[in-house]
Amino acid sequence: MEEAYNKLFLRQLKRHFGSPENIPDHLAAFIRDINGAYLSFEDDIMLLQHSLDLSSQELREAFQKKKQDADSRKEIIDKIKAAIFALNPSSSGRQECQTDEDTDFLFESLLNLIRQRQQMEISLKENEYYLREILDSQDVGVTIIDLETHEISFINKKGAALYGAEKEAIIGQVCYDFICPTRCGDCTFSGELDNHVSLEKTLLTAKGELIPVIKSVVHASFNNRKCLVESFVDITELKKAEAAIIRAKEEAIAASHAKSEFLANMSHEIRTPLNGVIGFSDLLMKSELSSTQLQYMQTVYYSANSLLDLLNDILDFSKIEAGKLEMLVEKTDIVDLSEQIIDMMRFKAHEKGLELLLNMPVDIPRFIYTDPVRLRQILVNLLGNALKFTDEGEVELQIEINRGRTDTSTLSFTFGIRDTGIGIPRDKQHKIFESFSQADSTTTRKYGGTGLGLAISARLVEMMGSSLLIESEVGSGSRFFFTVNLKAEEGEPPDRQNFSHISRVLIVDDNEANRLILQRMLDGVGIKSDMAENGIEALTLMGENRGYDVVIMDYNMPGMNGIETIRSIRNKIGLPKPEQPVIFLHSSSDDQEIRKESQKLGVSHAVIKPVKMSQLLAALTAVESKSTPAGREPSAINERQTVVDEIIHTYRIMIAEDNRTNMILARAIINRLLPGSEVIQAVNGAEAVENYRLYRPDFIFMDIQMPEMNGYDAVKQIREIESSGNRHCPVVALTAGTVKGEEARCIEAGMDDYISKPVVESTIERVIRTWLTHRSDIPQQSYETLPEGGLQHFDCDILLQRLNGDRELVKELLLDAVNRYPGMAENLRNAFQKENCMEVRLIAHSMKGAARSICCYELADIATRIELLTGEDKNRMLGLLDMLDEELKILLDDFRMKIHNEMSVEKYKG
Amino acid sequence: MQTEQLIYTENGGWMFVKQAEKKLNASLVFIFGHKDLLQDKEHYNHLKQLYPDAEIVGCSTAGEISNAGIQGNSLVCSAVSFEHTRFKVVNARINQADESFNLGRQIADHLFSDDLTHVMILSEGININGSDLTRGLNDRFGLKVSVTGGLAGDQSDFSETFLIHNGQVDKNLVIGIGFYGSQIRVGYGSMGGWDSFGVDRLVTKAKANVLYELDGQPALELYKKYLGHHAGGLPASAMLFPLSLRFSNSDKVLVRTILSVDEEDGSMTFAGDIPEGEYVRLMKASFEKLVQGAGDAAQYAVSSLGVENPDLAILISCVGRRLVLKQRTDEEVDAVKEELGPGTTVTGFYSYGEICPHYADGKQCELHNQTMTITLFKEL
Repeated sequence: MEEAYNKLFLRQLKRHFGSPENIPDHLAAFIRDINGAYLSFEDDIMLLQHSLDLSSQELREAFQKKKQDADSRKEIIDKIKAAIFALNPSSSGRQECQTDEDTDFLFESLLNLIRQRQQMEISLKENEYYLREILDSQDVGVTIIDLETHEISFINKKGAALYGAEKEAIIGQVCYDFICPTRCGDCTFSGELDNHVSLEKTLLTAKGELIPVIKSVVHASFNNRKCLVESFVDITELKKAEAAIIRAKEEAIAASHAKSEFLANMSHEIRTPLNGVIGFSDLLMKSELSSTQLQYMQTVYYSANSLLDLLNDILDFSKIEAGKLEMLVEKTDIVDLSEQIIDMMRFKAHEKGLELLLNMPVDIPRFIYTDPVRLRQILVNLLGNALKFTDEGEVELQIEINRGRTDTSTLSFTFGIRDTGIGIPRDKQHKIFESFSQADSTTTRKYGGTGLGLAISARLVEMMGSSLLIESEVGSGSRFFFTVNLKAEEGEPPDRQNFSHISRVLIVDDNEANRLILQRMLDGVGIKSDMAENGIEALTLMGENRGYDVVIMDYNMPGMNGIETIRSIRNKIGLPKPEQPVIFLHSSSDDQEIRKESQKLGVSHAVIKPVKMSQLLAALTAVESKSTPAGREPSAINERQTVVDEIIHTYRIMIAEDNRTNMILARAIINRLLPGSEVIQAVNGAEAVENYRLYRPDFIFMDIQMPEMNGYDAVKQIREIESSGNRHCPVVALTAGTVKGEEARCIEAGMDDYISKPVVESTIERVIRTWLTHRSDIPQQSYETLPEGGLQHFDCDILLQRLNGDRELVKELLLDAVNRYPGMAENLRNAFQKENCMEVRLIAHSMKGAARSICCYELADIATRIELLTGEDKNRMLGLLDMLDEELKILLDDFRMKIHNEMSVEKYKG
Repeated sequence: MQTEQLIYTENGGWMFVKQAEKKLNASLVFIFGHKDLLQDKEHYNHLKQLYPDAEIVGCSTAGEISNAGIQGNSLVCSAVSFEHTRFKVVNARINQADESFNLGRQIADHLFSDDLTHVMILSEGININGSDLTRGLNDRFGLKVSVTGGLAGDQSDFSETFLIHNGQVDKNLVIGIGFYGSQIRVGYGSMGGWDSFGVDRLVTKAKANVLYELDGQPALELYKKYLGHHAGGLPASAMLFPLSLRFSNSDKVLVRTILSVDEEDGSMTFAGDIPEGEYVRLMKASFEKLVQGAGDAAQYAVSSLGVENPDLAILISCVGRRLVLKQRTDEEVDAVKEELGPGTTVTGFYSYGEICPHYADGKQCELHNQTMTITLFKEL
C-alpha cells in the first residue's frame, strides 16, 4: 500500500504515524483525500514539466526553422543584390539587407534594371531600324548567305529590287540557281577562306535575266554561324559604256589602218608623176642647155629628188606607224656596208674639215643577218645628222661587239655615231625623236632637214628590237647609239697575211681616235705600233733609233703637216724611200699639189681617210711584198673593176608598160643609150607575149602591173616559148618598189633582174650592160670600125650607178682626173718624143683603163688606139695625141664644171 | 422571481438546500443530474408532485452544481416562479451532428418573438456540432437576442447524454427556453483561465469539428506525446490540453475541447469547429487562473446584468475544468458565489460545452469550451 502514497506524504505520514497502517480509521478517508490531492498535484506538476520540455523543444525547433528560413531569405536577397550590382555597377551596393529600407532599395534597383533593359530594347530596336534603313538606302545590293545551308538570311532593298522580288520571297531561298547562276558546289567563294573584292560576276534575276555586277564577298560570323556577306553593284550601264569604248577604239584603229593604207596607196599615185618629173628633168639636163638653163634644171632635178626623198620618208614613216614596214633580214656583209656608208659620207666630212672615222673591231664577223637597207638608212641618217651639226672635230661610226654572248651564233652589236658637234640640251633630247620636230625651231633654218629622219631611224631601231639612245652635252658633242642582237657568221677566214717583214709601225696622226683605230687594225694583223701626235714627236721617236718598218703619216696636222714631216724624215733623218716606206693618209679634198709632193717624197701608198681595213691591208701588203707599182700612180680609187664594152650594135628592145609617161621616158632613155636601136612597145602582158613572138627582141623591159595580163604571167609565157629551143632573152622588171616581195616574185616568174621606178638612165644602162653584154654571141668590138668622135665623152650616170650613187666619190674621181690626166698626157707626149714605145704603150694602157673606169668612152677609145698603134705611124700618133689633148680639154672642162656644180648643189643641200 | 432548490442523492434522498418561505408554485424547474437518475421516473414524479404546474427541463451532467457545492451522482433541482415574465420551452430532436445548424434555426424560429429577451439552450452533448448550433441560432436571432446555455455531459465517460423536458427524457434532444418581456434581466459571462503555450500550429487537415492533422502531422500523435502516461485516459484526458483557436482575421480566440478520438484515422472530434488554415495552440491550466477565471466570469455576468443581487445563477462549467481542478473544483464555484451575493440561488452543471456570447463579439453567441459560463436572472 505504500506504493499508492505520494512519497512526500508517505514520509510525512511516517513521520507522524510511523506507518500508514497506523492511520486511525476515521482519518482514513481524510488521509486518502489528502494523498489523492498530493498525487494529483505531483501528477499535475509532472505533466506541466513534461509539457514545458516538449514545448521548449518545439519552440527551439521552430526557432531554428524560422532562423533557417530567414537565413535562406537573406541569402536569396544577397544574391539578388549581388546580381543587381553586377548588372548595374552604378548602384551603391549595400551588402547587408536587413531592414525594410534595404529591401526598398533592392526593389528600386531591380526596377531600375528593368527600366534599363526596356531602354536597351528600345535602343536596340532603334539601332536595328537605323541599320536597316542604311542598308536599304544603299544603291548596293547586300545579301547575307549562310555558309552551310546556302540560304539567304538577309537581303536589302536594293538587292531585292535588283533581283526583282519582295524581300520576304527571297529570304530563306538558297543562293545557287536562284540569285546566282552558278551551280551549288561551283561557287568560288564558299570553299575558300579568303575575302574577294570587286569581281565581275552575274546576278540571276527573278525573270531569269543575267545582270552584270561587281561583287565583293566577305567571310563573317553572326550568331555562331559562318556566313558570307555579299555586296554587288549593277554595272549594266558601265558594261554598255565599256562596250561602246571598245567599239570606238576598234573604229579608231580601223580608221588609222585605213589612213595608212590610203597613204601607202597614194604614194604610188604620187610617185608616178614625180617619176616623170625626175626622169624628164634628167633627160633635159643631158640635152643642149645654156648654163643658166642647166642651173635651173639642176635645181628642178634636185627639188624633185628632194620631194621624192620626202615622199619616201613619209611613206616609210607611215608604214612604220601602220605596222606595215617589215624588216627583210638577209645575210649582209657588215664590213662592206660600213665601208660603203663611210664612202657616202666622206666628201661631206672632208669638205667641212671634219675627220670621219670608221671604228670596227678587227675580228668582227664578216656577215650579219639584218635588213641592210634599213640598217644603212639608220646609219646614213645618223651620220648625216652628225656631219650636219658638227662644225669642227670628228665624226665616228663605231661598231662594237659586246662580250658575254649567250648564244654562239647571235652576238650583241652596239652601233654608235659619235660627233664633236653642237650637242643637244638635255631638255630637248627627247623631243628630237618626235616626228617633225627638231631640237630647236631655228634648226630647220640653220641646218635644214625635214625632221622625220631621226623619228624614222628611232622607229626602225625599235623594230630591230632595240632603242635609239643618245648621250649629248651642249658644246661637247653627241653620241647616238643602239644595241642589237644579230645572228652573225664569220666570213672566210681572212687571209692572215703574214706581215713578216713588218713588225713595227709608227702611226702619226693628230686625231687620237684615228690613231687608236689604226693601232687596232694593225694589232689585228699582229703588227705592233707606236703613236705620235705630230711631226715633232714622230721625228723624236724615229730619232730614238727605233726602226719602224712602215710609217703611217697623216697629212693634216698642226705644226708640221704630213708632207713636211715626211720631208724631214727623208732629208733630216735621211731615210730615203726604200728604207722607210711611208703610207700617207689624206682626205680626198686635199689637192693635187699634195699628191705631187707626196709622190716626190716617195710615199709608197696613199690611203684616203677614213681608213678602211682592206685599204690599209692592201697598202701593207704592197709594202710587204716590196712590190711598189713602179711609176704607177698610187691608186686612189677603190678596187671595184668592171669591164665596159662599147656599145655599137643595134638592138631590138621591147618595153612593156601600160603607163604612157613611163613608156615615153623609157623610150627616150633607150634611144639615148642605144641610138639606132629598135624599140617595140607593148601596153599589156598579152601584147608583150604577142610581140615577143613576132619580133623576137634582144631585151625586154617588163612592167609588172598591167591590165589584161600582168608582167609575171607574160614572162612565164615568154619563157615557155623560149623553152622550145630559143635563146634566152633577158627580161628586166620595172617594179614599183613599193610592193613587198615584188623582186623575189619577179625572179621567180622568170625575170632576170629588176629595176624600180622611177627609171633613170643610169639604171637602165646598168641592166643593159649587165645583161646584154653577158650574151656570149655579142661580137667583140673592133676598134677599126670605131667611128671617130662618135662616142660619148663621159657618162656620168653609169659612173654614178657603178659607184652606187656615191656622188662624192664621183666627184673625187673627176677631181683626180682633172689633176692627173694632163700629167699623163704630157708624159705620153714626152715618151713619144723620146721614142720610148714601151713607155708610150704603158701610159696609154693606163689611161685607157682609167678612162674606162670613169666612163670616158671617147678618151678610152683614143687611148686604146694609141696603145694599139705601133711606133711606125708617127703622124698618126701625133694626130691621136692631139685628139687626146682635145678630148682631155673637153672632159676636164666638163669635170671642173661638174665638180663646181656639185659643190654648190651640196652647199645648197647641206 | 422566487426560487428554491433541492437535491437528491442515493444516500440522502431528496433534501431541500434552499426552501421558499411559502409554497412555491414554480413554473419552471431546472433539473441537472446523473443520467441514470434522470431517467428514473420516480424522481420525475416526485418533482411533478411538488410542482404540478412547472415545465421541467434539464440534462445529464458531468457534475451538478448547487448552493451546496458540486456533486456527482445526484440530481439538483432548482424551481423558479416568475411574476411578470413569460417563458416558453421548445425542444427539437437532432439525428446527426450536421443537422445542428438547422436545428438551431428551428429552435430560434420557434422561440422568436419581438419581446424575446433571452434564450437558454440545453443541448445534446455528444452528437452535436455546438458551433453549428450557435450559428443557426445566430442566424435567426442576429444581435437581438442573447443566448446562453450548455451541452449536456456524461461524467467523463463521453458515452451518451440525456435531456429532459417534462416527461420526455431522451438523447439527442435540444431544448430551448425563451424568456420574454422587459421585466426579466439577464446577465452573462464566460471565462476560461487557460493559457496557451508553445508554438502555433497550423490546422492542415480538419473537417468541421474533426481535427486530423496539425502541421501535416496527425493531431492525435501530438496529444499522446503531450499527455504522456495520461494518454491512456483519452479522450477525457485530452481535456488537459484544450486547443486555443485563433482566427486570423480577428482577435477572437476560442477554446476547443476534445469530445472523442478515433484511433483508426488518428482524428479527434472537438466540441466546436476547427477550421483548416487557422492556427491553434495548446493550452494548459493553472488552478489560480481557472478559479480566477470563474470569478471573472461572475464579475462579467454581474456587470452585464446591471443590477445587484441576481435571483438565479446558472453555472455551466466545462468538464475539463473539473478534470484539472479535481478536488479544488469547489473553489471555482466559491469564487463565483463570492461575486453573486448571498441571496442568489446557484445551480448548474459540468458540461461538454458552453454557449454564451463572446465578450469580444457582443451578443452573438458562441460555443465555448473549458469555460465557466454564468447566466444570471433577475426579475425586475
